[in-house]
Amino acid sequence: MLTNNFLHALTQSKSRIDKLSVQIATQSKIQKPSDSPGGTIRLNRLNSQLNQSDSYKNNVQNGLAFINSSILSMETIQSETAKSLTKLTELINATNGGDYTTYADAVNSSLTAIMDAANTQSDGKYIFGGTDNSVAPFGMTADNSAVEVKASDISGRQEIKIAPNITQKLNMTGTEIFGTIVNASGSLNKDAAVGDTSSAQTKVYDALGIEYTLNLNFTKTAANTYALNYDILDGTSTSIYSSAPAAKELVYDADTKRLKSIDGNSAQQFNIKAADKKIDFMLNLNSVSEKSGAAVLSMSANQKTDIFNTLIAIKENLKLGIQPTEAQQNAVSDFNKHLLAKISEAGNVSNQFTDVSDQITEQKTILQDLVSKEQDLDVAKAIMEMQAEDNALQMSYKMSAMVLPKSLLNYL
Amino acid sequence: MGISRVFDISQRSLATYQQALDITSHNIANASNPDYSRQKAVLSPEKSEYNGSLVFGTGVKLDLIQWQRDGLIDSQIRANNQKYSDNSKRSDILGQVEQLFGEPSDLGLSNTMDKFFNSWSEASVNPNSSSLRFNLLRASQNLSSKVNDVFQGVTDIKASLMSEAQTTVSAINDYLKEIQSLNSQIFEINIKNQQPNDLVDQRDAVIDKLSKLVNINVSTDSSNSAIISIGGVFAVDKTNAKEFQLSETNGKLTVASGADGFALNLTGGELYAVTDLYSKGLPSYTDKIDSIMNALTDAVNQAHVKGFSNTEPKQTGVNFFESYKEGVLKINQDILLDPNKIALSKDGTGGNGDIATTIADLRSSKLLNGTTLADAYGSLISEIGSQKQSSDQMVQSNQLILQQLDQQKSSISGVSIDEEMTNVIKFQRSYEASAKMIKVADEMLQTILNMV
Repeated sequence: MLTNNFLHALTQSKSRIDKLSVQIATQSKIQKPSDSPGGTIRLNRLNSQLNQSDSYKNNVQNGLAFINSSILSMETIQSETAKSLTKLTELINATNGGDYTTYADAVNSSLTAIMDAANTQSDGKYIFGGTDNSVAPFGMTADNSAVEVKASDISGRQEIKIAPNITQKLNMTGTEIFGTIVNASGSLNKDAAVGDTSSAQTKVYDALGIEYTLNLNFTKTAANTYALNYDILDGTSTSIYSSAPAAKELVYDADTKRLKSIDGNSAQQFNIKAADKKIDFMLNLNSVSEKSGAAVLSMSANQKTDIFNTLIAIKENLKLGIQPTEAQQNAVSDFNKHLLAKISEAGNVSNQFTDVSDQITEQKTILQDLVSKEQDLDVAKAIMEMQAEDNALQMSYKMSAMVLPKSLLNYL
Repeated sequence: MGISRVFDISQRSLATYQQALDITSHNIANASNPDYSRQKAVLSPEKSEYNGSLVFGTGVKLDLIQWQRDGLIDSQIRANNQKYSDNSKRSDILGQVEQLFGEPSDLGLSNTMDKFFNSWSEASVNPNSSSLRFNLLRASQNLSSKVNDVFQGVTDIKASLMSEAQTTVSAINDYLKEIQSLNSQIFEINIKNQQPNDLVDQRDAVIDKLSKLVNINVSTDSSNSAIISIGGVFAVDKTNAKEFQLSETNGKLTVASGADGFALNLTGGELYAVTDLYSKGLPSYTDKIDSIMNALTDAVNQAHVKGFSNTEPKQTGVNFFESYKEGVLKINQDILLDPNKIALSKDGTGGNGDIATTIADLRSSKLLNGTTLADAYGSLISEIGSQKQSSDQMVQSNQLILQQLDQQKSSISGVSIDEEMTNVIKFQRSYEASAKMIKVADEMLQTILNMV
């Protein structure tokens, strides 16, 4: 009986010492789920959050590098645009009239620098290529008369996840910077009869600066459903490019308050391209909604024509001894302003990335602290406990050595 | 009545105390035998002689060798043996299972799954990057490998449980034969009106061993033969010992009597732990892993199939995982050969990583009965941990109860050297006194003879 009691006590004591020594060696309270089932789940969850934070931090770092490269390129373009603007201002001054070839060379030099910057890559991706990274986004046409978009689509948005519920647009698309975006806005009549058509029109320009008229027609085909057609007319009101009978089948989504295509994909923006006429712009329907009452639609463009072809036109005119027009100077000036706004927007994104990066770092510190509280061992306490257990074990040994062999036999 | 009577009484006394010393020495010899029950010499006066109005005592006799045993404690010990063995075996097996998952550590499935989703998230930033695509493939292969390791580990444990169950059933059959043999010997001694104490001790020791393996019910008949049933099925008496067989049907282990096919209703003992974990516990764990991995495979494929590869021409409608079945998560072979076939882009452009983002977001999607995959996995780990912890606690509790019962049993049946040595002195002194009486009688006889 006595032997069993001692053995039980010794086994228990050794088992506790064993557990404490493993904990001290690993500095961890939880070795396996049964040590603390709840603690293991919390630990897994915290570690998962830490892993996720690491992933977001990587995304933010990559995003920051990309957006900073974008800013650098845009600053280069802006600097060249500003130089060109200065030259144009000088040219419009009549005293410089005789030196057009030099100015043409200067404009050409800026154009080349802008083209280079527009085709810059960061981490293997063309900064202004949208999501098409297969070819440099901008290049000369075969007849060298204009710059055209070489990539299939430079309007693609690159989005990255920087927090569980935050997705940030990473890139400044080529369309946003260099392209023309025609924004349609207003509302369609919710109560209009099937077959009714609502129209809007605006001026659009080709790469050479020639003016055209864009007509948009929304024809109601069913409740909340419209067929969109468009038509581009030249100066003689002759149609030079038109859509198929139903270019887009659109449905109004009351939840998002936006039009979307029948297949459910967003129809916020799509490309209208008449290559033979050097017409290429984006049509943005993001601000078109539907409500009761007469349809009210309007359209506006972010810029009449792109900087490349404006500068080419100026250069070619200068070579021919023709002074730049005020409209051309205004176009360059508008682009400059537009670019400054985009640089500012990219700067905000960069700041956001930096802030998020700091937040993630802070969040990681908190998570690591929580992991530490859940997992890390109070070594001092554990050593004291082990010492106490060891003392108890030694005492048990001593007691068993003293008591166990004794019986009446020892005294007979 | 003469002096010779003193000789008779003393001689009987000498014989009786010698027998008492024999019993005591038998006790001392078995002091360290845990299965032995202390025997006690019960002495009583010899039958008296009547002479007229006087009644003369005729000395002492060994009336009975009393066997010190408490049947109630024995049955309590057996009942607790069943619980202790069940919990102890469960704790051992669950300890092996929880090691397979490697939680909480960097090598666990939880961390591997995190890295899998992280690799999609990172690939979404630069979908063209070959290194990120390779990284994604590596993370997927690690996940596949870890799931397979866990599954293979569970399969190995099941195989060892099957082998252990067979060995245990074989041991049960051997014990039953031994008990039947001892029952038979006990019966034969009993009908001669003798006391088969040591045989009963031997038999009870075998019954105790049996109680560690299965839940048993023990009763004794008039001849002190043990009648044992296991899980509600008759197992052994003094004439018959059943033989049991283990069988597996639809992944469930059952033990049934070989002769009549009655299945045992196991509720305790090591065999219960082994068969229960084999038939229910381990399959429930693998079922949960299957649910998690099936949900993951389906969700990843549903998103991936809508994406476009980074190849020329672009490919779409391709699954990322070929299949998942019983721990084998197969990644699409074409993708393994060419990571550019991973469909990260939603619109076909190389720089679009929307599909990768969608797949990375699956981490927080409630894909499995309203819970995320991580939560479902967490609850599985918690379940295993809690079961192991509960078994450990029950083992400690059963151990304490068993210890107390053992102490009670020892206080009744155990041999106390102190007590036995006291008896030795007592019986030795009585023996010496009886011898002295013979000397006294001899001297008395000598005195009379000297008078002649």
